[in-house]
Amino acid sequence: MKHFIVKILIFSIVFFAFDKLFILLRNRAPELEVDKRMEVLLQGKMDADLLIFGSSVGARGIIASTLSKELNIKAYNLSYPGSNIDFHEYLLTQLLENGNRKPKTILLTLDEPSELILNSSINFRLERLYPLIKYPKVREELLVREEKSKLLSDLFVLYQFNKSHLDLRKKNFTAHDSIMNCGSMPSYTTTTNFPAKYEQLPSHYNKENESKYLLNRVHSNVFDG
Amino acid sequence: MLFNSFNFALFLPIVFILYWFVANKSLKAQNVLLLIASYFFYSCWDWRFVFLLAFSTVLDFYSGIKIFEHKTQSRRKLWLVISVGINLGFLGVFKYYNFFAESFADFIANFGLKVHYSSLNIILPVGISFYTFHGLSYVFDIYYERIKPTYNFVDYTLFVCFFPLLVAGPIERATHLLPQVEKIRKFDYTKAVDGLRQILWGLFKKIVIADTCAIHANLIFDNADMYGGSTLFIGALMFTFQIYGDFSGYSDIALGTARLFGFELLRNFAFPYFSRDIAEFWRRWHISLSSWFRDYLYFPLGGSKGGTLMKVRNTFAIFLVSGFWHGANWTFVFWGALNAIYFLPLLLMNSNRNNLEIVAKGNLLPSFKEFFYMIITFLMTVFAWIFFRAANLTEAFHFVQTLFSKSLFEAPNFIPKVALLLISFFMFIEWLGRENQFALSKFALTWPRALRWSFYFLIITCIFIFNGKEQQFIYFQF
Repeated sequence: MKHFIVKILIFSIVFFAFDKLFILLRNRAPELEVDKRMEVLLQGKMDADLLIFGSSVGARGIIASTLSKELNIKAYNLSYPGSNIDFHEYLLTQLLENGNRKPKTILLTLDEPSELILNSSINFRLERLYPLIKYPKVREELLVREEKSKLLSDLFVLYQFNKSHLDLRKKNFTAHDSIMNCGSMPSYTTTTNFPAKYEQLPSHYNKENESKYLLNRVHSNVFDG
Repeated sequence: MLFNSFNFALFLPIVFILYWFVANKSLKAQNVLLLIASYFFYSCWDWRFVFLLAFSTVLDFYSGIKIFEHKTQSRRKLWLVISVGINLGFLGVFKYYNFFAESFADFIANFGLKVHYSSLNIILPVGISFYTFHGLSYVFDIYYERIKPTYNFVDYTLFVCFFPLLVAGPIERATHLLPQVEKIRKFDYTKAVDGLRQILWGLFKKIVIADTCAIHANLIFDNADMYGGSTLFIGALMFTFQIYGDFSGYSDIALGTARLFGFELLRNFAFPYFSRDIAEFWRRWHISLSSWFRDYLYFPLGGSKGGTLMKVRNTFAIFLVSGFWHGANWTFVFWGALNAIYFLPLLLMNSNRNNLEIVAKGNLLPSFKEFFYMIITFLMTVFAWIFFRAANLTEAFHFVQTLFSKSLFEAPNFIPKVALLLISFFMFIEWLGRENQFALSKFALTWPRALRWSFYFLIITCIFIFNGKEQQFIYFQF
């Protein structure tokens, strides 16, 4: 029995030391993300008059730089494709808690009224949080959401990881997304890879009328939907 | 308390230390400690169901003694009927009431009649199917005079509710476990280390394989109408590995945990996806349930003694009941029937016991013929799992219809690369360890310590990284 306990202790100590090597990987993870928006919020560096929250409708549909130009204010887009209202609220909380400048206007886009009740196709984008796990605030959120246990999370660096940490390449939000300096994420891909039932962009679609078209779509979704 | 939870990671070492350092001197102390721990473990789900478990235990303990003590056959039979009736009655109410009420109403509606039934909002007590079958095997064995009853209530209660097997098996037999409960356990270093290895491999199967495959399986099955055949095939494949990783992972953790306390539980899985025919598959999948139905249903029905027709009838009976045991849904019954149909040609050709040994024993690779039969059996299993996973039969048939359309030959909407990579690694290790009790049993034992520990570190790293929100084990719902 003594031999068994001693061996387990030695194994645990060696693993504990091995685990600490991964601090470097954890701290490097945010640098690999192309999308730096949430990190800006966590660092308290957000400085905008108008902020846009929402899912893909907001991310792809509203070009913040166009609003900046038209309205002569600093606008920034914090919409995340596939995210739900819970996630938008989390971002808002981070905005308010981390010493960011409070915006004058917040634009919240909703996909459809049912988003306020339940919609399984959009969710709290937990995977956006994992690359930023070096920030205590992110770790706290994962604990609140019962993604991780506190004690194990405090003890082991590897336990804080998810599979995205193993990919050491630069990461876009998704393979077909691009992100503008203003935080908007217009999608320029063709829709051939998607099932036919997905919405096709209209034939007159081009970059010039992009914001107008998509703003109209947001409007129709929110008010007519 | 789930095996893959932090609470269990605390609970297990505490019970282990108390067991080997405080209660190690007497059998009674060992059993009482395990009993308290088991009831605590069970009450973590819902303390109210502890009373149901206790009632079922008292009933079977008392019935066993009465069956044994009565000299007349009619009295013995009466006590057997009481025990079986009440046990199945509980199972019927908690698990099947709504199903029967709904099915009856639907059936009557076919004749233009309307029946109002009140569906009950019943919570299924976790593990009820498993501990009911434990108790039933005990009274059956006494009735058929295979064993004598125990007069020690603590021993019997521990046999029924020993925490590693309480909620999802393996379904133990009194002939196997009770003698171990009645004998003081001595610490065995080799057994304990082997137990830890089995727990580690079980956690890998559950957290890394099953939970990763579950993400894709759920996405595809829940949105099946959006995808073509090739993507649906990926979905079925993902569920195939999800259910194997989930259930065999649970069994590995249960067996490994029991070994830490000096017990050997019945083996539940023996590398079923390497089977060469469906009969072999059922000798390797959920072994404790298959053998339970064989011993307490198939043999009493006459087994294979009464000619081919009886053999076929009895085989269908055990597969249908086995399907229904899994849950109150026609999908499970259909899944059972489909497996019986798979079995039929083997039965008729009397070749259901052709493959008793593990495939390619002593060789690194299987022959082409073995490989071909393995693939065919595996694909048949994948197909059957569609019915097990689908929410209802309509969805299942729609899934199958799309699966076998020409879209099967189109490029899938997505390929879950990480999941496929993990499955490849997993199946590679399983293949190498297929001649042992579990894949890691002897794997890497001859390697230098640094290399062996590196391998264990890799497994633990995967478990840590893929560990997200605690996911229920599929078989808890049964």
